[in-house]
Amino acid sequence: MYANYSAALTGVALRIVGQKNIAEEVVHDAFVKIWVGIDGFDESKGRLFTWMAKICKNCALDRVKSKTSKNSEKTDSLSDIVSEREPVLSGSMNTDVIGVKEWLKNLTPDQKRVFEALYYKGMTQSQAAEALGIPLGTVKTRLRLGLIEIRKKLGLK
Amino acid sequence: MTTKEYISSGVLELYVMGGLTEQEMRKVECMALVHDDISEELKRIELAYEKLALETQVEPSESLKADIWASIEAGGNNQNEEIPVVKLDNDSQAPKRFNWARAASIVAIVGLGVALWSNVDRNNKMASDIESQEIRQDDLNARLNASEEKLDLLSRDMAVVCDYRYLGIRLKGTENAPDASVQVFWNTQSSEVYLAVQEMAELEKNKVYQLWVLDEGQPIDVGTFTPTKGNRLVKMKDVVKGQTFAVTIQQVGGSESPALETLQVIGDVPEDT
Repeated sequence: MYANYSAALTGVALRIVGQKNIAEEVVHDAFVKIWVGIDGFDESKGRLFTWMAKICKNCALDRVKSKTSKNSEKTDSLSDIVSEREPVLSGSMNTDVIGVKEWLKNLTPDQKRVFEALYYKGMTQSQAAEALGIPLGTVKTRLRLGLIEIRKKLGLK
Repeated sequence: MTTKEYISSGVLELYVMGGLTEQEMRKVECMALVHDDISEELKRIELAYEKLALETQVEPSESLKADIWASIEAGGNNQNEEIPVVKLDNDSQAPKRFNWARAASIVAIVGLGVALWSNVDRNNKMASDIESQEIRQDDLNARLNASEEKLDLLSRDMAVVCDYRYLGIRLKGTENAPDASVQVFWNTQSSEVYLAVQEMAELEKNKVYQLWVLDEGQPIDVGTFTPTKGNRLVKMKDVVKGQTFAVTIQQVGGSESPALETLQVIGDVPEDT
């Protein structure tokens, strides 16, 4: 399990936290949680990786959240969290470094923005809608159309 | 909302990428349990997500694996962790003069350390127990919701099938489709019509089946349908009067008049009604 997925999960974590050493701490925490909760994984409900990636993503978001709240005394609103995370994501860690850019090439700029909000920043649909100033339905359809392009590029149906 | 509309809404992608709340996730899981085409699309999206993650993976440092194992083992067996504390005790034997007060304080520290460790150990175990219980609870809730939804739909179908006010009219295959078969349930008092597809071929993407009722030879539209899996009843438009039901193949959206050359099944309403 570690051999197959540790690098993919490190990618998931890195896209959210932006720094490799922190991403590895996140993957560490995620694997311990996966180990403890493996009985809760239900094969009939989906693939192992999807389940593991969700755990990893939540660990990464917890890390970003605790970092953000440490940095600021005031109560954070969503836009604060988003804007504080922005420099890490778009600055030191751009899409090129993480190697995703190539896969997003065929997406429209609108689809890219939605995909980035979900895939890199690990936002929920309502957070993405709020951050991008578009309706929930638009978030969903842009995400679907974007992923369909990526599926084509991956050679999948 | 049809399953096609549900799939194209993008909610399945959000599910896979973790962009939904717990409650929204449960709903998707229910829909996937009830509709095969949703669960198949979900699998395709999951595969794409996994493949993309593998294509964009980042190798962690070599030490990470060992670190993770150390944490997992420490969580399961804290006895090993006491060794350094015992070593302290060994060090205390080194001085030539035996210092009772020092020995007593070391014993106290060791005792305290063991007590603390066992507490930490117990807390860790409790936390992980709670977490796995919560994961199990979520899983059970999802299954329960899905079963309840399925049961609701089946109960509604059973109510129609068992209701004496509904006439069961079997539409048999024509030369165009000898194996085709459809059962229409018509409540002549309330005018409600349900349809059960027993055997109908899959259609091209831009085509649908359309149900008609012939009243004094005049065809009246009763709605369109596509063959669905799972032996479910489909609610059609109300029919007040008619003597024969028939199904043709039409363009998506349905037509005002039937393409009779595509007639698939036909059946007369029993005369004593």
